[in-house]
Amino acid sequence: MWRPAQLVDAWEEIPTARTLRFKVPDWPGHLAGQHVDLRLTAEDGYMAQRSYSMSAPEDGEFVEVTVQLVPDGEVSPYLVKEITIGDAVEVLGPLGGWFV
Amino acid sequence: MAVFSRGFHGRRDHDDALPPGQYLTRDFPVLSAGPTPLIPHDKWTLTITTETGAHQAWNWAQFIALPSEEPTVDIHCVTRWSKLCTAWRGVSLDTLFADIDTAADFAMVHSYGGYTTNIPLEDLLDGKSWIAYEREGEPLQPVHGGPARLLVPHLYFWKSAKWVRGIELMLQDEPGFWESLGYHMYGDPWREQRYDGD
Repeated sequence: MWRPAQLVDAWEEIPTARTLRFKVPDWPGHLAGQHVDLRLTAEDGYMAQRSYSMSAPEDGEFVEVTVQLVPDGEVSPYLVKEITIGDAVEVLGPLGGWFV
Repeated sequence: MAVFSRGFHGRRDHDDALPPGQYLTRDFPVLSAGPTPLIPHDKWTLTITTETGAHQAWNWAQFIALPSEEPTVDIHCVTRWSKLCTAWRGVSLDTLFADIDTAADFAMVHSYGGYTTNIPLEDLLDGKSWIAYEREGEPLQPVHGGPARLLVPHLYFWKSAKWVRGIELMLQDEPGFWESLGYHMYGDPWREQRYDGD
């Protein structure tokens, strides 16, 4: 189930990597080692989806991922350079049961 | 209600060969559940075991003496990258199963290192899969599953088990490694069968 998520905080870890903190209503919680899929939808309906590891422990309805910039990437330049507080994405997860 | 990401445009390098939710990559990412086993050719065997316990085995010399094919296929990883037109050399499972007598409908693929994955037998036969030992004209590197890996390109690539050592035939379907950990039992990329329940 894709859940709407809102960016509530973001900070640079190094010049090419940024941590994004999303608020995800009704988030069921997660374990270290799990991942999420993020889905971005452009105004005309074009979608792109990527998988990211969790970068912070369970914290209520908050989910954090840390994104490394891929210089000619499609999604990471948006997440590292463009998205701002209040913007929306969708989140699927938590996913994966092995690396926990 | 649709959720739009303000300011997101995307690169739109869409290709009809890409299943839904996938993006194109031109390198070859490596994802493994554990360390890479190193299997010398003189220690390598491939065994097919039927539901009655009968088995047929090939050592490396016997295996590479079998007729080979050179499929060029698209591969789709459940972590959302796809790679188009990858060139392989391998032995068709039809060749390996020519003398196998079985009533089973399912197979469990076993790897050196302990990995397993389940696949319906009909998805392994009729030109749909190979045991591959070369990629782009070079011996398959251990990090990509060498000496030999299963190649089942029409399913998500976790089904194409690296470091394959055996195929066990089963009368009933059972989950393999990832399938026990939340991933889909079948894994059709065109139907986005990524996770249990998709």
